[in-house]
Amino acid sequence: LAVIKPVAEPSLLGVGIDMEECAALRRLDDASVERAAQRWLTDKERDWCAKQDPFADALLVVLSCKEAVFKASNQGRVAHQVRLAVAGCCVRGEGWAEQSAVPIRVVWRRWRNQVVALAVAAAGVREVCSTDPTSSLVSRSLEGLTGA
Amino acid sequence: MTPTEEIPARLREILAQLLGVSPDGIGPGFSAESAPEWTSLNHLMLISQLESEFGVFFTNQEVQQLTSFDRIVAALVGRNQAGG
Repeated sequence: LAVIKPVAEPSLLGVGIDMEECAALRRLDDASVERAAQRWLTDKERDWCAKQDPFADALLVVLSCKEAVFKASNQGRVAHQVRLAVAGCCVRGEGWAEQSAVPIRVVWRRWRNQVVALAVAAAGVREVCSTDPTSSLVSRSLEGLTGA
Repeated sequence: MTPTEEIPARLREILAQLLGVSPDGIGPGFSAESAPEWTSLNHLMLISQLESEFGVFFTNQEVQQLTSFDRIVAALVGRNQAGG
């Protein structure tokens, strides 16, 4: 992970939230899930999914995070073009947008049979990592929302 | 069955299975706006399913625009007539 390098007080630029039912992709067959992963995920995102169990739940997490990041970015890009680096498991974790003009953090939690992903776009942080101010902000916000 | 009959029929099956709705309610006028089950997540699943099923590839612009039964049928029929 990168080193924390705050260059100024983080300035909130956008917030995005997405909720998906945990079982949303479980009704699909393995081929459909794999096909979707090939189509919409980067190699790095797929590698992370491959280490999780079940794969469909991991795919759901990544797609939910992309949607949250897309909403937070407010840049008019389509959600599936968002590129993520993610760490954690299907139950909880965090990530950040790659190749983004503004640092965008995202965290997710499994909560009441839903995956809840919350993303925050904030300027003023040159590099981001798991303990940076933006990440803390996102984590606290999600904990406040889900009570988890 | 001709492609212009086959494509809507197959699309109806795919949408019904993916969205978990009755195929009877799917036809002209059916869209992401009218069907709450047609979420952004299901839309991505739908596009990758269609690309595989019909051997086509949709651009990002098309992915954003293909949010109704009619538009998808038109796009697939167009591709079919153009030879893929």
